[in-house]
Amino acid sequence: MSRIVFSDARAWRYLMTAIGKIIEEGVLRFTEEGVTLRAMDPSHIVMVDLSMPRAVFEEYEISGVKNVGINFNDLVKILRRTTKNDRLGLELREEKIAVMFLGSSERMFVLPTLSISEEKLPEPRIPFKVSARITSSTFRDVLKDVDPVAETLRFVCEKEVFKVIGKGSRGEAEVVLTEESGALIDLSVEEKAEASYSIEYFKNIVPASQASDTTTIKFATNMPCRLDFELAGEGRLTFYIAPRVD
Amino acid sequence: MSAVTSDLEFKVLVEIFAKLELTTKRTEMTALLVQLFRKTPAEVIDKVVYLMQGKLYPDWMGMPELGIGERLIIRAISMATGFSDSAVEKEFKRLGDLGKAAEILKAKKRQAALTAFFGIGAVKPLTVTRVYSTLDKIAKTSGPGSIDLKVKLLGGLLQDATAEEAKYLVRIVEGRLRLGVAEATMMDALAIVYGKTKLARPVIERAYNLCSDLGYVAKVLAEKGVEALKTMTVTVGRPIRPMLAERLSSPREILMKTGGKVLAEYKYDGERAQIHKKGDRIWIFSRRLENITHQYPDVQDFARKHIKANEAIVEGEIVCIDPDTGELRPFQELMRRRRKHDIHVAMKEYPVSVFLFDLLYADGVDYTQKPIIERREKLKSIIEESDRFRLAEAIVTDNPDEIEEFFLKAIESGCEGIVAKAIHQNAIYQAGARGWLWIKYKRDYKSEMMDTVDLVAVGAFHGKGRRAGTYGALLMAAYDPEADMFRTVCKVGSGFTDEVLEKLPEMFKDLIIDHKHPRVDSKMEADIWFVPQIVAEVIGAEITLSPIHTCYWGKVKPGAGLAIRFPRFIRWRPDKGPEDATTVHEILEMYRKQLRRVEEAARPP
Repeated sequence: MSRIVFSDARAWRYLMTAIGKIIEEGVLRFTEEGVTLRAMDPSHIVMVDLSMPRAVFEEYEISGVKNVGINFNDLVKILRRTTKNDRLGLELREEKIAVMFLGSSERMFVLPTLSISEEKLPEPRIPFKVSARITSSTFRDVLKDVDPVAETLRFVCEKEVFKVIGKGSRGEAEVVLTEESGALIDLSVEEKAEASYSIEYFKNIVPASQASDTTTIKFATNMPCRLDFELAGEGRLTFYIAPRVD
Repeated sequence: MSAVTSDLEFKVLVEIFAKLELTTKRTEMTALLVQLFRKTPAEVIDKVVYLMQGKLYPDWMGMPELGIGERLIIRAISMATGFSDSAVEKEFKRLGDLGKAAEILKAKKRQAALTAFFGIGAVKPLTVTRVYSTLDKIAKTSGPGSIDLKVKLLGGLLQDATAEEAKYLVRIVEGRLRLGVAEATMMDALAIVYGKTKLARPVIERAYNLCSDLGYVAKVLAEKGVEALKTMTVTVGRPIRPMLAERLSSPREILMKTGGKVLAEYKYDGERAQIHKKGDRIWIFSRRLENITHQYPDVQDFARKHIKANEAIVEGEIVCIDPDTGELRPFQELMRRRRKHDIHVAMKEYPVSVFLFDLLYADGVDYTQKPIIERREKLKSIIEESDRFRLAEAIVTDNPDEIEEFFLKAIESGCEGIVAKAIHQNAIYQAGARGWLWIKYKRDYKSEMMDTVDLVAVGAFHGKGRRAGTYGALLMAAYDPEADMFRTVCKVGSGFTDEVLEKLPEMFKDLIIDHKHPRVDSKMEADIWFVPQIVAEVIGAEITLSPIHTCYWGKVKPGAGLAIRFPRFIRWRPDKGPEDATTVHEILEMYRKQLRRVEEAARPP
C-alpha cells in the first residue's frame, strides 16, 4: 500500500492553495525519495517547484514511482476542512487518492486522479546577484503595503538596502528593508540589482508563506525572481517568476 | 521508434496568411497554398486546413466554440505583454483591430517569459500542433474556473508567439481570420500538390462532398494518396454536401433542359434537412451542414419510428403546420419556433411535418450514384408514411400545362413553388453541386393581401384529431354579381377560437344540403354542402393563381382562378347577406393592385 502521513495538515493546505493559484492541474510525483512537483503556469510566467523529501513525513510508504494527476482546485476545497491539530494522510489507490485528516476525529475524502502527463521542465539557470531572507510575515506585510497602488513590483538592492517599490496608475509606494532595522534576517548582495515583476503573481503565491516561517527572495537585474518557502526537514516550495521588461 | 512526429512551424503558416491577405487573385492564392502544402507534413495538414478557415473542426461536428470573447482576449494580451488591460484596450480602440493591437504591444512587450531563461534551445518556436491543441483545449475547457484557464492558455500561446504570430492568433480566436480562401481554391492546391494530374481534382471534390470535412480529405490524401480517396464512401453521421437546383421560369424551358420528362415535387417553404439514422441514433443537418439535431426532437422521433431501415440518410423539408388542419404554415413560423428558448414549448406551439424527397444511403448501399427514380422508389419502400412524416407531393409528367397546374397548386397550398427533376438514367445525386438535373420553379410575382374580405361559407370539411366532431375547415366563396354565382377562393381552417369551432355544426345545421348548391361554382368536393348564407371576414397573406378555386376562372390565366393563400378567419359578419360579400371583381382588383415582382429572399434558396 502507498501511504504517507504529514504532521501538519494546515501547512499542506497552504502549499496546495498557492500551487492551485498557478496551475489548475498538475502531477504530484511520489518516489522512494519523496514527493515532488514541477510545473509551469499556462502563460509561462511562473514555475512552481515542490520538493518534499521523505524525511519530512512521519510515515512514508512508497515503492517505485507513482505519478498522480491532481486537480488542485478540488484538492484545496477538501483541504479547507483541516483544523489546527490535524495530521494529514494520503493514500494512493487505483485512479484515486484518499485524503485523511487525522486529529481528534478521523475524516477521509476520496478524489479521482487525472490521467495527465508530467511536464519535463529544466530548472532555470539564473545567476542571482541578490539573496534576501525575511520572515514570512514581513513578506506578507510588504505586499499588503504596496497593494493599494501597485500593479508592478520593483526590487532594487544595493549594499545593505533592499527596496520594494510598488508602481501603478494610482500612485507609488516604497518599502525599505535593512538588516539593521530587523526587517531582513540575511542579505547578500554580489552587485547592485534591479528588476520588476507583476504583483499579481506574488499575490497568488502568498498563501504559501503561511506554511513557512521565512521567505527567501533571489533575483538579479532584469532576471526572474526566485522565492523559496522552506519547511522543517529540507522540504521547500519554490517559485520562479519571469520579470517585466521596461 | 521515434516519438517525434513531424510538425510545421506556425511561422510558416503566418507568412502565408500575410501574403494571402495581399491578394484577391485566385491563381496567386492557389500558388501560395501550393507552397504551403508542399512544406506541410501529412501529420498536420488537417490542422493547417482548419486553421486557414479560422476553425478547429468542420461546423457540423457541433464541437464547442472557443468561448473567449473580446474582454478575455484583452486579458490574455495583457498577460503576455505586461501592458495593463486598459493599455491594451486603448491600443485596440486606437487601431480598431485587436489582432493589430496584439502585434504592436507584443513588439514592445514588457513581460518576459520564464522559458527565455531556461538556457539556449529551450525556447521552441510555436508549431501548428501546439497552436491547434492549445486552442482545442481552450474550446473544451468548461465549468468553474474555466475562464481563467482559457485566458492563461491563450496568454501562454501569445507569450511564446512572435508579434506577427500574435496578430493572427488573436484573429483566429476572435473568429476574424478572413483570408478569403475558398474551399475550391484549397482543393485546387491539394490537387496540384498530391495529385499527379488534373484528374485528381474531381476525386478530391467528390470525397469532400461525401464527408463535408476538407481537413479529413486533405489528411487522407496526404497520407494515403488519391487512390484512397476514390474508395471513400458515405458515412452515417457525417453530412453529405447537398445537391442544389438551378432556376427557370417556365415549364417549357424546364422540360427542354431536363430531357422532356420530369419528376415535379412541391418545394415546401421550410428548412431543408438531411436526416441520418443509425439504429436509434439520429442526426439532423441543415442545408449549410450545421448540426440542428437538438432543435427538432419531434423530427428525431418521426425518423426513429418511420424510417424502416437500420441505417439511412434521407433528405426532406421540415415545415411548420397547423396541427388542427394539417395545412402548411409560412416559413416565418419556423423562424419563430427557432427563437423560442424552451424547445419543448416551441414544439407544441409550432409543430412541424417532414416532407421527404431523397434517399442517399440505406443499409450499406450508397444511393448517390443511382438515378432519382430508383432513389425515390427505395425511399418510399423504407418510409412508413404518416401525416407528419411522408414523401413530398409529386407527379411525373412531360406536359408543360400539367407542370403549371401542379405549380399553382403548390403555391396555393403554401409552398414556394416546385422543383422539377430530370429522371433519366444519369440523373444521379450530385453532392455539393448546383446543376440542371434539378430546376426550381418559383413565382416571379406575388400579390400581398392588405385588406380583409367578406366571404360566404358554401361547404365544409370534417375535422380530424382535436377537431373531430366539428368542422376542420370551411369552403369560402366570393360573389359574382353578373352570374349571380358564388365562386370559391379558399378553404379556411385557421383563426377559429375553440368556442367558435364548437358551435360550427349547430350554426350551419339548418343550411346543410346533400348536394352542391346550384348557385355555387366549385371544383373542390366538400364533405358537406351549405346553402350560401353565412358571411365571414377573412384575411390572407396573398392572392394567388389557383388551379382549384373558381373565382375569375380562366380570366387572368387559362386553367386558373384566384385564391387566397394562408387564409385566416377573423369574425362572423351577421350584418351581411351573401350578396353583400366581396365580389370576384374586387378580388381581381386587389390581386392586380398589389402584384409585385418577388424579390429573392436573403436566405439561401
